Amino acid sequence: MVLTTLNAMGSLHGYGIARRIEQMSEGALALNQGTIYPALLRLEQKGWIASEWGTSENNRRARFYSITRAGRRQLANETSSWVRTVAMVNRMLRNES
Amino acid sequence: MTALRVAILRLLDLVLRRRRNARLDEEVQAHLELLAAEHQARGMSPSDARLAARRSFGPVDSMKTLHRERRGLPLVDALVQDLRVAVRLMVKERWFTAAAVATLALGIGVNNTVFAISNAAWFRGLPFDDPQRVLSLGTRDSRTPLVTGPLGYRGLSYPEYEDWRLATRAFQNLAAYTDGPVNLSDEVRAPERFAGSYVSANLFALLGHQPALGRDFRADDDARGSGPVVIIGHGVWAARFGADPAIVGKTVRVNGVPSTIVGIMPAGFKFPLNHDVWQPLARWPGLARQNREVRTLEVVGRVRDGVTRAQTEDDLERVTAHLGREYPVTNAHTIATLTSYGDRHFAPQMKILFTLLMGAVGCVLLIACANVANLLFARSATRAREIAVRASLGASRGRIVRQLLVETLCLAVVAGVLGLAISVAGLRLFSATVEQTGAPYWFRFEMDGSAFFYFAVLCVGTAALSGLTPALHVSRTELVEVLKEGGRAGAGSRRARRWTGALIVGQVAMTLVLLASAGFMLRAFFDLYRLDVGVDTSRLTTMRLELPGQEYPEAGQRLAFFDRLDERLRALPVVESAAMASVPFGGGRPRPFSVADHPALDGSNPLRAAVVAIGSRYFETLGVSVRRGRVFKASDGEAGQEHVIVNDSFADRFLAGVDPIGRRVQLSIATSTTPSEWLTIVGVSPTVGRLPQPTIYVPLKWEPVQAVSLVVRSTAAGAALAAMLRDEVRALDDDLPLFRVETLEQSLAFARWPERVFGSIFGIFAALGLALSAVGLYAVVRYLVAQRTHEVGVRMALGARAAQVTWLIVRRTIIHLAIGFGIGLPIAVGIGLALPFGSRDLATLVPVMALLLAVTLAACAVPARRAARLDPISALRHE
Repeated sequence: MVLTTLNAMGSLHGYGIARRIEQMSEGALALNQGTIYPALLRLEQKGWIASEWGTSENNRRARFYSITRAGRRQLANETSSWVRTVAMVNRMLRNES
Repeated sequence: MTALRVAILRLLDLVLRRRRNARLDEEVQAHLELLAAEHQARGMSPSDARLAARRSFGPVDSMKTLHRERRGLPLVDALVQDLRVAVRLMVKERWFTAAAVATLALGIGVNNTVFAISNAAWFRGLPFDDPQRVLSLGTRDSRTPLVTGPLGYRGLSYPEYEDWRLATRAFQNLAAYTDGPVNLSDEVRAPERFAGSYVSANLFALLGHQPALGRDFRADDDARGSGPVVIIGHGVWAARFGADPAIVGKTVRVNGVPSTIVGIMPAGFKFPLNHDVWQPLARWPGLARQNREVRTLEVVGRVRDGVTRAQTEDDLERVTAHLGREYPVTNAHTIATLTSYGDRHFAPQMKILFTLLMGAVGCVLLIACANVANLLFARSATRAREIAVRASLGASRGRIVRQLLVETLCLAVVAGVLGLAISVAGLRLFSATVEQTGAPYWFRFEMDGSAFFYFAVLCVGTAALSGLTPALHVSRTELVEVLKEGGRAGAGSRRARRWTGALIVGQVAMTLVLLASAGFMLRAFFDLYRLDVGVDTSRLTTMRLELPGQEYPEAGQRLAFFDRLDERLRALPVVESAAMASVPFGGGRPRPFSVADHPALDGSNPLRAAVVAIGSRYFETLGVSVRRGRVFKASDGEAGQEHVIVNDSFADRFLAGVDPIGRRVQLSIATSTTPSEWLTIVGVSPTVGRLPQPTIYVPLKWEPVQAVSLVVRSTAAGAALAAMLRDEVRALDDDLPLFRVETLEQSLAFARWPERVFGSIFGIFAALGLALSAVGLYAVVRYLVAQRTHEVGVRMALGARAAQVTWLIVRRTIIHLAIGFGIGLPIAVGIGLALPFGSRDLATLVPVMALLLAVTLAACAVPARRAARLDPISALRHE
């Protein structure tokens, strides 16, 4: 989800990503916003996102994350594998009924 | 790839920790402010907005922890944290740390020292190429029992060596060598004597050693009639010739014969034992009169690759059997002995000694660990609360144990560093002490790779031993109990007391064993060292003189020299009396003999007695008068006047109940198997010397030996006397040095160095062990008793009398002591009986036990009485 968000929205800071995810899921995902940071760390360690420092809306120093090329590749892979999974499940369900 | 990248990032984080923490904080702050702004925009008050922001963000600290753990290496983080806490604690509790560190340092230090010593003498092995394949060959008579170690060795005769060399198939090569003292002299410097060796030309190559300068011996050097050559050792080269490389090719007089120096051996090489100068075997004077019966050549061989020990033994059996058939007179019963070169020089008693020594220091270390464990137990009481709180905050038991172990490891490491310093000092001291005793040259007492490895294991092992039990015990503290009772349940609990009690029992037992062993050894050492030698040793000096065989091959020549020397000595005004003897003061290797007209003793055990050749005025110089009969006259020893004197020990052992005067004895002679002519006893002297050894004194005229000791009683002493005597000798022969000048006391002390050195070492260890034990026992018992002050208060309040309560407390300690004695005593007795030497006198145990008893009683009686005398209310309040 983070990758999707960043892919669509470009460069965002932590707050922005969390807000966007909440919006996109239309309130269905109401996680604690703080949990995003360990996740961001993991993505950064794997090299799928990169970060740099900038200034936020309220003139504070904040870290902005953006997706990398490797990240885009990963997103594409995961998306297609998700689509394939869904298609397979649909097929099985259709066969059942 | 990703995994590697992640790993590197994690490692990096260790370094960049603080900065990243700060950055995360900043991010979080920014996030929170944005959230708060959002809520404020919806109309909340600023403070409510902030609260709401925090709520929707979630728990900050646990997120940070999660983030940190994912970022770095949690294990390393935890260890670093443990380490910091440990160091802080060590600095804070200085006395405790000092006590623990000192105790462990002593234990580690002595253990390391003894290991390095044993390693040098025993474990490490020999400095040859592939030393397992180098074996020492000898011969023995198949009819006599086998004696192992240096004393049991008999060499080969030269013809035998040649035969074996050609016939054997199991050995790549055989080489031979024999001792021969060397006097080096030249125009420039005074003559000096060195321990020298005649070696076959292939010996150095067989061992795998090359001269550092010049060349090795060649086969043609070892041929009869070739030009005399010599190889000298590094020490001689440096000391006498100033490490001048141009000395190779120059000439020195070796035993009076001008020889060319062809090579210099590298530093540290002193084959076979402590020798400095080597000549080819062809120059050995003994070569001329070699026959098959005289077996003085030592032989080593390198076994071929792939040949087993059994095959080697079979091969030698074949060779000796063949020789036995060819030369039945001399070789019929001769078989080969085969030992590793190290074992040949390392008596089995030494192995026992070293094992005992390692056991002793092991005990000391265990006592030290027990002490520290007790200290830790005692301290755990005060820490129970802290641990309980940590446990309640979520620390797992393993975590707590780990932290406690890290603390102990810190102590052990610091102690280890200190112990290493002690070790190094101890090794230097030991090295200096044994340097004069002629220990083999490959005994290098220093720290090497394996010693350092052992040291590391020691530190870790010590930490584990002393720390594990207290850590495990403390970590099981019941939270509720501790917090409720205000920390008292920690060390006062029954479990803790049991552990501490067990440790006390162990300490007592080990101290007992240690002290008992030391006591035995010290007794042995004092017995041997006692100068109850029956002689007035004041103003007596001895020195040694050797007439090289190359220059004095004839008995007549030697006798003439001795006579002339005797005259000159007599003429010196400061000399009260002087005499010559083959050994100065009793002793010498026993030789077989037989007595005429005496009921024969069991034939398989030939009678043996020491034989000492003495010059005129020997007994007079020693200040000893014969009990019966007379001393030697000038004519004794000539043909027709073959007379001997025996000592009391001899008379008591072999001629008990009869008058020795007039009896006849027959001795074996060193140079052949046929015995001497019959000799008549003309006098009986008192027994002199440390050991009551049966001795036969023969006139020097009858057996003019190659080497004599001068025994001189004079008011002059030391360097002045030595210089005077050297001048006298030099006047007779320019190339002859006097050596080993020492007073009689010194030479006696010299002779029994293993017992002396080891006796003192054991003594030191025992004292150490006792001190450690005493201090440890005292501290712990005192603490335990103080713990029971509360209980004492209760009992007194309930009506018990002071004496009763004191007794109750002291009783428990006495039980511990008794159990400790019960375990330690049988072990100590066992050791005492198993020692190959040393007195079996078990009376040494009594003062030892008394001492331990005294210490323990003092330790528990004092606080017990103090507790009993306390006003009950304060005792009850005591925590």
